[in-house]
Amino acid sequence: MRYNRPRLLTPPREEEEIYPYRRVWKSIIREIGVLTLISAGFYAIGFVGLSIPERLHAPMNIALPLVIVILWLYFSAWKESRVLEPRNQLLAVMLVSGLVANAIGVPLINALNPDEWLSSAGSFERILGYAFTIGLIQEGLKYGVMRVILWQDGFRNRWDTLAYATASAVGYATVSNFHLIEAGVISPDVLALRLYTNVVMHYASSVLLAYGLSELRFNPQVFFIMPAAMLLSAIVTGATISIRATLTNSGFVLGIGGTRPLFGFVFSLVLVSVVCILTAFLFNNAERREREAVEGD
Amino acid sequence: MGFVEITGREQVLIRQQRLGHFLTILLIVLGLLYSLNLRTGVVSSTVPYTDLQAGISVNYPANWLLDTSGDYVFRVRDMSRTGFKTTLQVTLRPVGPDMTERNVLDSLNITRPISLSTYDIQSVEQIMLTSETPATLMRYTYVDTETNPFLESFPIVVAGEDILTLSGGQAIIITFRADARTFDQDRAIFLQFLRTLEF
Repeated sequence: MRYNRPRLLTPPREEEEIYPYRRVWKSIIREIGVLTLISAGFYAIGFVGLSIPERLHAPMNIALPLVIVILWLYFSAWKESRVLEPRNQLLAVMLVSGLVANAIGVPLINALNPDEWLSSAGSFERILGYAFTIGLIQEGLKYGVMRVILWQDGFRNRWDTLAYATASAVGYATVSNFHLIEAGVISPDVLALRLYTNVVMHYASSVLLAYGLSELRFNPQVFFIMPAAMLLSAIVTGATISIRATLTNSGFVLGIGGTRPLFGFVFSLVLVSVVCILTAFLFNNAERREREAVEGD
Repeated sequence: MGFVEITGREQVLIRQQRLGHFLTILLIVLGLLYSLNLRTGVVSSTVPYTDLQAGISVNYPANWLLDTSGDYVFRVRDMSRTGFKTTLQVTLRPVGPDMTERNVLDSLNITRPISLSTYDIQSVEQIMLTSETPATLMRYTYVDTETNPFLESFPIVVAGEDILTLSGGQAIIITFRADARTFDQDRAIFLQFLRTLEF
């Protein structure tokens, strides 16, 4: 009896090249996606009129700012530890950004108190006012943290800037969220939407900052992209604060007027989606240009 | 013998990176300076007000609510404040030929405790409103309570200043009232208001 080796219907599999880094966009999408679902859940609770028991308000208010940290720890930090070439300083950047926010950012913004004097300013002035106070302070500090910790040898490729910028965003946003709940205990369904807006605003401005840093690190001929990205990220912050407030607060109405949290929620989601898509396009474009230049050589 | 500079391109790149960092920091500094300038512009912007009948002209803070319907010539309030609304007010009272500033103040001090809870005079002193205009400055406090009981708010201690001067057979009373906790901070607005007041 003769043994015939079975014929393969498909050709043998080629050895697949393993991507050695964590895919940052995937983590960002998952973090924002889960956060959006949680916030939508809280909105639904408020919308259908279910009330969260008052004794749960205080513990939930403390737990809510930690949600983004937990999501980031799982989707970014833990996933990072499971790849061949992990970004080792991710946790350090997140913690230092939070500490810097607590020590410099929040006190400085409180001292400037833009909410007080911009409330009576026009729309354009309000956007610029928030951009050049809160926006520049927040993004400037995040930039400073990454510049000091990572500039020498922390950025190995363009995506590293994105990974570290989002780590910085999570650290800063968490501290500012804790300062937000310091003002008093409010219903968790209201708080969840406010925290959501704050977190996605930090994500949106940080990915722009990351693009500026990556261009300055890997394509320094166009050195003006970094200050331009800083300006743009500050304006994104200013526009988010100003436009969200306009959309959420009801205008003068006859009868009983209330806030419109859905408008602010949808605006935040659209903003972070548009900024991330545009920045992803810019990142891919820069990567392609660099690859073509290398192939050209 | 020539040298081939193999690190030249790298040095140019490092210089460009430094320039990028420098421009970024410059942008942050200039942006913050601009915001301070914007803040000064918004905070100190004023609107002119003239009352020909009363003969008063003054600049009051922009976006404050103007009211001329009470027993005063003019009153503006900062409606963006939570709690007590910081108030600037000008009132005219006719005076007889023998009346002094002290008489007008006494008259105020008799009527005010009826409408202002725990009204208490802190000090009375003579000042110069301008280099040629003597005036009397009276400081007082009272407790402001919310008239709507459903709002369940705490009472607020209000600090006030009246500057009283006699001119052309009438007493001009310039009043400034603010939450006692922000009184010193808000007084700068009052002083700015006084500088522009003409009567």
